[in-house]
Amino acid sequence: MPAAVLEQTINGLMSGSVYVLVALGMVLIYGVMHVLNFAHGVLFMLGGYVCHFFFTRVTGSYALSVLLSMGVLALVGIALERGVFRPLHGNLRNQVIASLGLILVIENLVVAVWGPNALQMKVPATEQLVPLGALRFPLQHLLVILVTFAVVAALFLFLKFSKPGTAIRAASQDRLAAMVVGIPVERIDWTTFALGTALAALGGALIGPLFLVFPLMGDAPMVKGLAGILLGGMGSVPGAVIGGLLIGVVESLSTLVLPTDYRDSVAFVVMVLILLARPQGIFGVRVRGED
Amino acid sequence: MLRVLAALLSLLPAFALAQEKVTVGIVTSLSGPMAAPGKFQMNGFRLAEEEINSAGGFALGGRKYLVDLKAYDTRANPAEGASAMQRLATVDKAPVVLGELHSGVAAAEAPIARDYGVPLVLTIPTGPGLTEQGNPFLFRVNANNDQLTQALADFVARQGWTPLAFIAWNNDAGRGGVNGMKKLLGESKIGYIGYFNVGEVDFASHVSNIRAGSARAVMLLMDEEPGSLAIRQIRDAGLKTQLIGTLAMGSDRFLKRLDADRLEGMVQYNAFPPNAAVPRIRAFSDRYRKKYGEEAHGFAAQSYDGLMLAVAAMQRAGTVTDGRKIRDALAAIEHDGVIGRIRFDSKGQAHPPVYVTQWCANGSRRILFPESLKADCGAG
Amino acid sequence: MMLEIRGLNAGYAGRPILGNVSMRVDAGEVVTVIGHNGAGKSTLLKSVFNLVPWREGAIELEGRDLLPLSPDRILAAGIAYIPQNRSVFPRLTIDENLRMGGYLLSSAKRLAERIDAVRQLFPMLAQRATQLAGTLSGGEQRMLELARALLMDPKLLMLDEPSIGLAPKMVDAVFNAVRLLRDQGKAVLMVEQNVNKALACSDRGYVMELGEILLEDQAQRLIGDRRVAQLYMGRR
Ligand SMILES: Nc1ncnc2c1ncn2[C@@H]1O[C@H](COP(=O)(O)OP(=O)(O)OP(=O)(O)O)[C@@H](O)[C@H]1O
Ligand SMILES: [Mg+2]
Repeated sequence: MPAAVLEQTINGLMSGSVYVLVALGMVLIYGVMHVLNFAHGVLFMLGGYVCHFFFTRVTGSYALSVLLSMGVLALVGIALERGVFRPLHGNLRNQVIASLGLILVIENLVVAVWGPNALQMKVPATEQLVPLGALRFPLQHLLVILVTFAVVAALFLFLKFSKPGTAIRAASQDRLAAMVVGIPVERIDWTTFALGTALAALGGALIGPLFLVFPLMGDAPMVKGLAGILLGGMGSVPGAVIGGLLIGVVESLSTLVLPTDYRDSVAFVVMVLILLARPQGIFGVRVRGED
Repeated sequence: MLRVLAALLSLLPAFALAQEKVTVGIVTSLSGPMAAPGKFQMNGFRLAEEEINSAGGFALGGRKYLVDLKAYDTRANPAEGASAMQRLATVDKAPVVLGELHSGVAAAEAPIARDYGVPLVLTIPTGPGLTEQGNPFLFRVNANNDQLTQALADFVARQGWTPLAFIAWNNDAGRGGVNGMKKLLGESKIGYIGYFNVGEVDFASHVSNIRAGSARAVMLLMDEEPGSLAIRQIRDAGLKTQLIGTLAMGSDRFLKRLDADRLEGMVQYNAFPPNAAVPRIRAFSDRYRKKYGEEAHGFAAQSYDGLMLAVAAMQRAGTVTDGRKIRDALAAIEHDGVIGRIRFDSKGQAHPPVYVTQWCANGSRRILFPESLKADCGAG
Repeated sequence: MMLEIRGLNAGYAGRPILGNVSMRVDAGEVVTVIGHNGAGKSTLLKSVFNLVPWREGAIELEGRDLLPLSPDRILAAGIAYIPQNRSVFPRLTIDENLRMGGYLLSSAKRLAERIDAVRQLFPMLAQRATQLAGTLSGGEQRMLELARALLMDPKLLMLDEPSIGLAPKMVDAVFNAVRLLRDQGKAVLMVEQNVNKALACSDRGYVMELGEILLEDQAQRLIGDRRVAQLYMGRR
């Protein structure tokens, strides 16, 4: 039994890592621009396709393809911020409608370019098996977790200690105040968007080799990532990390005792229960002077 | 210049007189979640169409008729299916409609077929309920889930591969398959059952549960894409359990997704072993490979037979317009197709042979069942 | 002349608020704008800092045209602005707030010097460097805003109702801080409802109603003005 618990914990950490990568981008963008970008799941998917493209057509190097995919999606993020979200600034309803519309546009575009079928990405790390006690995991599986942890650590250091990172936090706490101290908030907007979409692309590029690249691959991570955000506390970056991981691990462990078709519901039941006990989420803090 | 034009024009009516066209309706998935199997379906229809037309059409009452396929994309969506069926019956005036992949969509099309008196010949959907509605205009060329399950259950019981575990699609096909096996093998012979939803790709929790259980074999009731992921995850986790797959998993295409190592020993039921040492199968496989450059697929063979059968029924009924007469001809027909002899029972269901093939170490397949066709690696 | 505004019209989408406003602030001078709620006082300061959607007229800092500049450029040109509502970053520490005040300074050394300088003016900020700004009292937050605004060593500070919502003791502290600024040679343009105390530490004042300047005079004379007393000081 303990082996099964260990196995499911590692599985949960892996799916949780993917949720975290999606959730981080959404929470950063929400913080700065106050818009929930529901198209984040399809950007995750697009990241997978772009990585696949670079890997199979341009360079045989997976690591390079991941970086290129993040770069391309960062540019896509900037274009979306400029072309879609900035013109609608201040109109939450239209931004939400636009992000829902983007889902259809990007999904149809991907199907038109790459077809509806799942694509395979044969990277060496999926073939290499790493023994862990009695268990073994594909190296890629562990890489997803390790890379995510490294990226999360780097992101924390960036937000906490660097000047642009502090400026992103400042702009998300009070946009007017940020303008008043001379922070160029529009530049913060698009850098944050680029950062968020690059993180989504990283998620899609990391998971693609394990679970194929296909048009619906971003749906579950988007919904679970959103649940992670709510669980962690809307707008909180550490909350998104803990919330995303928690959802992944809890839903994996639940399959040890519950039929697997309840797995998706488990995540949401846990979310609702925790929010009932703590409506602001795990990390949702209320500070004086904040409305 | 004018003279040339006039000469050309004078040729036109001659052509039209010599060969008339019969519009045969096709409902299939050209896009959406079933686009991949839809392609095999269309390949089968197109190959049959090409063979008929390149022979100058089929003969009926001293005339020759060309086949003109009118295909609609029903996208695995019942509403689209119903509207396509309606159009084919009323606008396109097709005397017979073929195809469909999705049982739910077929269920929406069947009543319209009856209302307009246009026979609908299914070539892929496997939901057993479809041919239980008492709809005289519905026919099915391929074996349904009950038939497939029956054949597989016999085989599994004979091999002693129980308790049998499942990873199955959380839909009619998956749940129906599991329940069918349960009924045939008996509840006590069933181990872990795990369902997953369309789009789900992580089978780790099922793998864990199967490892913890005592199942001697795992049946994968799913399509090609999830199938390749499930097998990879099971084998990578070090599970050596016997694997049992579906129709979708016995092809070279599938091998390309994985590798011989991970597949070795796995068995799957199959409607069509493309390399079997049976002349009609060999001949079809060769023609298919020539046209499409790949191994023939069961869905294509079934669909090819469907169109050939429909043409035979029109010839027999002596009409290319009267759907009712064509229906009666279909009900009585006996057709030697690529997949075997096709005869519809009173419910409109055919009973083609079901095969069980097994992957060999070198990436070829052998036939294990039926006994009469048993053949070693390279024949499956 | 430090700041000069001539014939300024400004407002929000399709809604003019300021009509033909002209005013000036000289170097080292404290100027107060008073007026009823909704008169357009905040809009005036926001217009100078390029935070309203529509502006027309002339705004110059030491002869330099400010109209085409974005807020960060205006700040770099020498004007700091503290808006009417609280504007500290609540979940940044005091120290981080100060460092954001020096966002436009590219030299780390210069930033450290400036932070040291404002800490000398407000010693409380040095003692509680790692406290989250959102946990400070209202008065302390005002002080942090002032300190943060001084980081760029501006020539002119624009304060929008600095004493609003503060306890009497803190109100005095705020106006003392304004005097301190003047002693340091800064020019101050301030909007205030606390007319007496504000004019008491000002050189000149403007009265604004319905988006227009009604009156301009020495602060002492405005304190003595009967109409001002009646309308804005609650005396009959
Ligand atoms: N963002 C905005 N959009 C539209 N109208 C606005 C906006 N901000 C202020 N107004 C309007 O402009 C007018 C002037 O507002 P302003 O805030 O400048 O007044 P004020 O003199 O500062 O008042 P108070 O003493 O209450 O702060 C008011 O009628 C107000 O409703
Ligand atoms: Mg105001």
